[in-house]
Amino acid sequence: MIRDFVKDMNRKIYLKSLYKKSILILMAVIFPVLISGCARFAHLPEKDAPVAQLDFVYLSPEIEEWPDKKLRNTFSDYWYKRFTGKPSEEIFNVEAPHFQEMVNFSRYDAYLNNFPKGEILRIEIAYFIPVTEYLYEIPMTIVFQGPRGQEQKMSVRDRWVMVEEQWYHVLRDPLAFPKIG
Amino acid sequence: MNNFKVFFFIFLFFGLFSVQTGFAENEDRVVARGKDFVMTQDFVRAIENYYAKQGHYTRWEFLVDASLRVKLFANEELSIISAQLPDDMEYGPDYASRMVKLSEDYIFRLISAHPVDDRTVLSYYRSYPEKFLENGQSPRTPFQVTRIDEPLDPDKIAPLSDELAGLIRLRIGANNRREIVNEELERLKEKYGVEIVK
Repeated sequence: MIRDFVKDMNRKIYLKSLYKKSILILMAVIFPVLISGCARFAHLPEKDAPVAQLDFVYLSPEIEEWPDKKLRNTFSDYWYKRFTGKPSEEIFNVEAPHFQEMVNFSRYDAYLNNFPKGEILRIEIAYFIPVTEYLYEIPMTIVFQGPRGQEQKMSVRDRWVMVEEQWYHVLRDPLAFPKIG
Repeated sequence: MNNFKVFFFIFLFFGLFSVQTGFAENEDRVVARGKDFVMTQDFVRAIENYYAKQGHYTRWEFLVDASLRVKLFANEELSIISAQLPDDMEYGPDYASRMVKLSEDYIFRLISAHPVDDRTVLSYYRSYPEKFLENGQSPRTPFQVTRIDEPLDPDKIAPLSDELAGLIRLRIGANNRREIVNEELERLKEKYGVEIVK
């Protein structure tokens, strides 16, 4: 009777320890997988990052879609931030690499401070001109809500260049940056 | 008679005083000095005359700064090309123009050596293809944003050769001239411990 009891207890203890071990082993396997999964999300490429949703109006019936999804995302993010004005470092980083080399950040920051701010209501795109394999010219009008709530328009002949698989804005403002370009 | 003596000594005193002051003014006053470096007022005047002939006038403080830059940069250029100007060369127009030319050569050397990476060069080349059309017609005019309404023929765009990349590097460096020059001026001032003499 006592022997049976001891046997039963031993079996229970054995099963309990086996259960604990299996949980530990399972955790040891799952934990690194979870960590590596999180690390993958921590280094999300830009195309997967949340993108500002802007309302586009295509003025030409020939335009059906953007030439490149990455261009659309970078473009949306850039213009959204330009009209918010912040964070200026992030906006500066989307300017073409040669522009970043030729213009110091404080001057650019001052330029952004004087740029109109407001909510973008829509962007009217005339057409996409593939100037070269790496360059698009986009004539467009940005319709935005000014500080007093009035609707304002700004026409821009925008340029976007691809360098090392990344789209960059080519800022052309002959009054603010006459020596660039 | 006594009055005459008094007036005589007073005139004598003021006469000697003004003569002494005159000599002092004619002395070539030191404007800036450092280790193995001296810049005199005559040098600054020579630079002033050089720029005045070109229609540039400025305040004395700016003139001293400009002269300091010319002298320090010209000295560096002379040491690089292993040359020296004659010791007895007067601070005339030839001397000033020679020094300015040497300092400009040194600035060109700095700009040429200014590192501009390949990515930056590529960015410039791809952003303004109209500048590199082989028929040489760039539609850009000052204070006007270029419009391109049609795709450009890639065969008509000059390829990005080493020579073209060099020119783009110079173009970008020249744009950063002010920063490059100021940085180097500060470096040389520190190197020679140059101080402006008040």
